[in-house]
Amino acid sequence: MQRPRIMAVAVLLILMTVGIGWRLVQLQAVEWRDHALRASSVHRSIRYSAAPRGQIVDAFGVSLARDTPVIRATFLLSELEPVRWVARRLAPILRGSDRAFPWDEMELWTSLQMARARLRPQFGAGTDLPQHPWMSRLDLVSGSKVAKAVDSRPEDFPGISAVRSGDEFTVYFDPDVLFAGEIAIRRMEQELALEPGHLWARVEEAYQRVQDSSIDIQEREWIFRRQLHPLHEKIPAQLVVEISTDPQRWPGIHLEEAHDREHPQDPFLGQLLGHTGLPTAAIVKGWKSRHEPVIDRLVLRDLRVFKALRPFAHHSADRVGRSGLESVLEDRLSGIPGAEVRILDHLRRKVGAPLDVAQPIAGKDVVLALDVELSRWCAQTLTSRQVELGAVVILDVSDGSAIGWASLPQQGMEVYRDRDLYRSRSESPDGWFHDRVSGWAIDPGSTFKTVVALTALQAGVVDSEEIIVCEGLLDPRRPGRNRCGNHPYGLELNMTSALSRSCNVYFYTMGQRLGLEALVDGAVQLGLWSGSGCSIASESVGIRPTTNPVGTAIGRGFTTTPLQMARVALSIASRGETPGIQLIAGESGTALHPSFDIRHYETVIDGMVSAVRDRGGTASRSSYRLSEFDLAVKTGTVQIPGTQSYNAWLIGFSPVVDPQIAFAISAQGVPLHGGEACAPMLADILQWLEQHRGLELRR
Amino acid sequence: MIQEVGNWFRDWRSGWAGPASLLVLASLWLLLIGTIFVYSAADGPEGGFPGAYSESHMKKILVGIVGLLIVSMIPPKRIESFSVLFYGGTLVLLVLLLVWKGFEGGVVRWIRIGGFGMQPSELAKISTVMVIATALRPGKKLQRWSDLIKLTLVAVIPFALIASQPDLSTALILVPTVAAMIWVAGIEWKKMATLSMILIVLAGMSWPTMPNYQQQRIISYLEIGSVAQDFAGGYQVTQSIIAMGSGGPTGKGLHLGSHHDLGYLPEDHNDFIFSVIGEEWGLVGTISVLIGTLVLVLTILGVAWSCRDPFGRLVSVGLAAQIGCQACINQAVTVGLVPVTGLPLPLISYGGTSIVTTLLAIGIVISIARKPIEVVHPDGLQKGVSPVQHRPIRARVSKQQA
Repeated sequence: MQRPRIMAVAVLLILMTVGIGWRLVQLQAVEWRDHALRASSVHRSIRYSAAPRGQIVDAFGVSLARDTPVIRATFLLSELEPVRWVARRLAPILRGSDRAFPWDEMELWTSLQMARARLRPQFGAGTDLPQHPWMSRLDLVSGSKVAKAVDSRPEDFPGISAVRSGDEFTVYFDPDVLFAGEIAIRRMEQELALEPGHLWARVEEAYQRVQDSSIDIQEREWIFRRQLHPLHEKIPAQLVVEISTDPQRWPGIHLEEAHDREHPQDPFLGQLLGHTGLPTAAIVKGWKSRHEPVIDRLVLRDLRVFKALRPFAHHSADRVGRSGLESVLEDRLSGIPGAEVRILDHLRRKVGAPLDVAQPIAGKDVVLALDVELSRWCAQTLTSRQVELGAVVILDVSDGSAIGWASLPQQGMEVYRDRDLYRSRSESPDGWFHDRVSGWAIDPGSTFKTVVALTALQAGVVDSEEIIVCEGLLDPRRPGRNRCGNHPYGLELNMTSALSRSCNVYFYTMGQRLGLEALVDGAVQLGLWSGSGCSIASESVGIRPTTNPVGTAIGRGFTTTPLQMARVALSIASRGETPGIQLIAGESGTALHPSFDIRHYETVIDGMVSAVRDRGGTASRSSYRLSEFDLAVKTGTVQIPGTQSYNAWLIGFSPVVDPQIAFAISAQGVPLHGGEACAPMLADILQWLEQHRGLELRR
Repeated sequence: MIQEVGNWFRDWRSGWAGPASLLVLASLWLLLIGTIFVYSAADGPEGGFPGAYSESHMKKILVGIVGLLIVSMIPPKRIESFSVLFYGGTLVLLVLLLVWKGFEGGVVRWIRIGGFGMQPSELAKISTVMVIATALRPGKKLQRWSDLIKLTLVAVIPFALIASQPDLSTALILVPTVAAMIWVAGIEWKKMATLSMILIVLAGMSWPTMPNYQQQRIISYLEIGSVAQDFAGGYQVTQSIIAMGSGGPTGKGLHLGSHHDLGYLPEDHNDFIFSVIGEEWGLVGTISVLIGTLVLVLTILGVAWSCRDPFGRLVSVGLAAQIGCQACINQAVTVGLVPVTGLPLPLISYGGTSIVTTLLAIGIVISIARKPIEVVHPDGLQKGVSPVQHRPIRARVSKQQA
């Protein structure tokens, strides 16, 4: 009884198999030509869209960095040209021929490459190239096999034909079809007026990586079959139209919507803003270590996985911040990528509407506290007085906002597009890549005396009325050291007048009385040698003094940045509790809580006011035009060793009683002293502020 | 025990003529095709042979062949004695997986210990066949519904555990397997029809509980002709049909299947490897796989035909139905006849546990084929094929044989 039932099971399985066999016959014997054409035609493609980065704007909405949409050309090696496929498919057909032809796949490919090299001068000439004989005097058997294979599957042997002549065959190739990829790229070089070979070199580079056996085989597969390699950015509209409407003439070349990062104020604020670029190997490694996927490495079939991963995914062609604010604010500025699933025909044209779309989400905009117009004026003020290296920073006393920011020399995006320029500036001692406001620390000179004054008064080593007579040197037994030439000899000076006239001997004495440790402690309270707490890339904290309190007391032997000295001025203007510096609107840096008595602040301020108003003050000359304004300043001068040039400083605030702005100006490598170089520039800036921003800064 | 194993080894050299050899040859043929196309689909020729996938595949084949040889040594009686233990063991593994899934969430189908991974569901397929064959040994005619229900419960428990992973396609294979076994065991027509109706109703009722991707596969199957094939199931099958059809009568040649090579065919080295064979070897290749599988399955049924012992017969039927149905379903998916299931092609698709367990199953059948069951026959025949064909035979092993 069981055997008939076993037979029934067998019959059922046989019937199922026959059913499948019938379907296979239908697909592979009856309909196969249709499917063969479809195999080289309709397919689904997922196209990735990079997300636009957020804008960086100033306090008035002026754009400092923004994305502009561009069309970028990329290429896919496996589609670019069928040379390798043709060689691989012909090799087994020709194997066993009795003629001395290269039958191996590698030799076939090499012979095609040699033919390519010979024909290369004619590529991109704009004329159609004739059919080129490739293998002549091929025996009848092999030639027939080739002819039959080509006739039955022409899509597998593009550009190949076999022509019989008597008992022999000659195999021809059509260069316009077989080398269509290179011809297209060389044509693109001509259209874009690029140097011949400039774009094709990128294809060669990709080919070399595919053939590099030291690279993992899976990686090489990726490079050849899936990776879209960058070809050229910003394809002009006409070429975009041409490639889109006639993609057969541009095989393997894909157009993508991308974003170019533009700095409208370039090169102004170049070092502060930084730049963007393609992710470096280190950046990609960082992604991998945080398990953030690189989305174009995933073989996506639909958008489900993409939508789940995209909040923390990256694309290897995304532009990322590489320096400056672009880098520090990367998490905020970078958006969320999008993608769409579409059907493409054999000409890689879209068929119908996209099947599924995930729109890219732009990054967040960042608003800086800066006033770009003011900052530009500050930079112009420096350049109009032939200052090539310098910095100006202006802070709003009420909340610490950095409203003015200028750094010379200015450097914009051009340096990242010119390798020679990049190399020469990298090797230059002028610190092109540093923002001089926050990233370039130098000796502050006599501006540091304000810090010494506060510290000495607070420590009780001096009172405001103590008189010290300055004979021009600290120790008569050592006449060559610790001198003072800032005023006539023999003056009796108290704290106020010592600050006003910037007497070195007075402050040498303070240095001796305080000692180094107390000096440093006092300076740290005012924010020196510590970061501002703002999002500034490559901020320098300067170098603390380690010896010689006497020299330290007059601002020598250590370094600070203009931003730090502006913070000192801000602290004095605030008379104590000092707001953190705001570079990004609404985000305060580190606030200061110095413990100095308010009386001591007033004493120091008196000295700084006297420097402007009283005869003999270092900023009191009428030519400086500062006496018109209600302000308190301290000048500083540091001679650059071995030269007749100086680093000139000026710090201060205005107005005196209810300050609105605090500032620091540093002109480096100039032939003038602090007051001479910086005071007129300050007058120009204050005048501008009155005229354009309505500040009341006059007496 | 050691002496027993020694006896097995001594007896192992006999009984290879006939079905056992045919099973080995058919298996080797399918394994060879599988190795060639896993290499073509997953590795590609650039890296040389073997590539990472094909090397892993061959290692698993080696493990499977060793397992086949060992299992083929063991007498069917011994195999039967382990059935319940084996079944219980696989149930424990399936429960452990579910407990793990409770902690981790998501899809949990593998048990990984160190670098070694295993799918208990594959083992459960064999253990269920063995335990059902053991349950049906007493020759029950399944006349009572209570017997039938008890028997289906034995199959429902692993079905439910596997389906909860979720791995519905593997679980569903148990259905034709058990159906074939109880059919051959002698269930009445009416009961079979009733059971089938109940199954269809239950399948319809389970639709809301199916995961979304499984529902979508069925929907896509029904919409296969539409252009908007935006779900994985529809896209995969469309690309499979294109790849298969474009191979034509003789195929594009080994490693020259551009459609799967350019990434248009997903899962080309496991579920859709049949499409790769169709693209590269054409109709010749696909028909040869069909014939190879049919030979394997019919040989197993032939072993069932000639086997006297109910256990051996039913195990053979169950394994034949399992391997045959799985192969047919995989092939039918690739040509668009049934919805996508995720079932691998036996002995061909890349996938370690499937290869090893299928070879173990064939090893069991070889064991059955090599040892025509010892029967107590009226004329005193101890071994060999009994001329008595229609009476249920109780096999008793003599003390000498034990």
